[in-house]
Amino acid sequence: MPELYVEPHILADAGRSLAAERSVLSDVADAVPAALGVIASAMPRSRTAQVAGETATALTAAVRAAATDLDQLARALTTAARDYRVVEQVAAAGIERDGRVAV
Amino acid sequence: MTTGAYQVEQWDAWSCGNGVTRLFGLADDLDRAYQRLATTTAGLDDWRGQAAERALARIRAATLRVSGLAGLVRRAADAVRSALPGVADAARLAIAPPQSPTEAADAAALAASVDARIATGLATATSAHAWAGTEPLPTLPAANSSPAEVAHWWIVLPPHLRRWLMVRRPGALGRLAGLPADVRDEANRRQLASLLATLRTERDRLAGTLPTIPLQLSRGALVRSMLTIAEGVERTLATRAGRAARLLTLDLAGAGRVAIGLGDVDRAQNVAVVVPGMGEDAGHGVPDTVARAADLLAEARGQSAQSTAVVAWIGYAAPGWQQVPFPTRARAGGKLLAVDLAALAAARIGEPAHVTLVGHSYGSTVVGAAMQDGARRADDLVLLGSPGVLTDRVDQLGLSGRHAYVGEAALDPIADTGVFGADPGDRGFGATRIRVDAAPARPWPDRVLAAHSQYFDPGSESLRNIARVVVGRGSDVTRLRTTS
Repeated sequence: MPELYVEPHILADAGRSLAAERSVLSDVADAVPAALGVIASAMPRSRTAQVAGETATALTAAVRAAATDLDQLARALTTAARDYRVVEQVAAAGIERDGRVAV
Repeated sequence: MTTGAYQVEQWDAWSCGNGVTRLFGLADDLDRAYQRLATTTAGLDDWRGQAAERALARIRAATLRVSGLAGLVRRAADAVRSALPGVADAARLAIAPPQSPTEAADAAALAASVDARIATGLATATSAHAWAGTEPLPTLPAANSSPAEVAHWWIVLPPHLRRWLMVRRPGALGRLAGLPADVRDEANRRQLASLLATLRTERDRLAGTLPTIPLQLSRGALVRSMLTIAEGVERTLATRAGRAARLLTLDLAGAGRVAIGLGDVDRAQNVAVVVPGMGEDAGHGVPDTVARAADLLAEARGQSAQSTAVVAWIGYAAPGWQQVPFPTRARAGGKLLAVDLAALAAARIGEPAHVTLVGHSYGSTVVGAAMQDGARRADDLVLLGSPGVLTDRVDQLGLSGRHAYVGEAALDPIADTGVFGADPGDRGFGATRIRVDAAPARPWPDRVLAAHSQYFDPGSESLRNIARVVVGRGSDVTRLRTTS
């Protein structure tokens, strides 16, 4: 049996927090190639310049993947918060309709 | 790639450093994102049920992933940072016309070596193992690791593993020379709280039993000794509440070791280390040494707009009357001081600090031993009421007389003894004699009876002169002309 020991608004807040961090990670993903690009430009025609480019690609992809993951989680939590609210409202309406006393 | 294909003369270490700074900044952004995500997970602890189990597991995994990414970016940045001096050297050599074929070959070899080192470091930072995000629990650096190796280990450690160590192994973390001051402070304060609870419980337990065997008596003495040090540190930190005091060293074993930094020791432009003398071991000397350090810091900040930090270093087994005639403890303390100075240097953020060692009485002998140990020489020395520094000439300490300052109060009974080498106040020693007039507020009888203990008096010419040296204004000290 599910145990709903959580306030929907706490879930919604968590969803917003995850969305905010997704935004931070997106910014980081955007900035990684530029930072490594500075290093590559500072050592022209070196092996470092080549590897810095490859590192930028790999790191950017990894950070974007993590951002996507956070985005999905944020959406899931927001949806869960909305669903819990709906369940609560439906249950409350049902109880009222059946004439039961809810304390 | 042949070395001829390089354009080393166009290498730009400054721009490289700029890229490194940006990468570290991005790692910091990821660190902070990890911290906030960890807090978010904690806020959902009351959520139960199938949905909760699935969601929380995914959120925790995502949180750790962000921590792992922070570690990767930091590792990449560190791979380049550690080779920056090499990049600068290679570029300089490439610009200067070689004097011989050998010199040209050496320059090319250096460039190739630096390039390979950075490229390998970057490739390793993003290796398959690192991507897996399944790093084992962290192991501490080997016992014989240098402070610089410890600093490097910490820099590349992902934040969730840092947190794990902070919570689970604060004692071990606090003892690692080379970690940032804030990290050592948090670890040592956690350890202090834990030790105080354990020791007080043990003291109460022993108080309820009748010591019938020598082992119990000796255990009681050990607990009392450790508790004396721990409670002294606790009281001292409490009096500094709200001010930037960092517990850099905490060791209750034996005579104990304590170091408390006032100010930002990792970033300050000037760092002074105050080393106390006889009788001022960790059990008895913490409050007074920290008070002197605080007075010196206040005076230094009044003397200069530069940032300054002062470390009260009660980090050796200061002698009692029985041990004070011998240099044994000074030599042992000197080795410990040399290691701690190397640790301060390794944890620096930015340029190296201007470092001054301020040794009082037997503490000046410890300073002399540390300088001869050579691990990390200070920029300036201030020797106060010194019975000698284990040498006869200042240049044997690795610096000139313009960077070694000696203060001897006229009626100080210790200062002229020269027990451990020549009297540093003698002209032949070669140091600069500074005026150490007592504070006007100090009454006359006290000036005679406590002549050996008045060097740090607030408002005294002595403290002003020490502070001038600490802030790099040694040329402004008021000097004592002597014919001795």
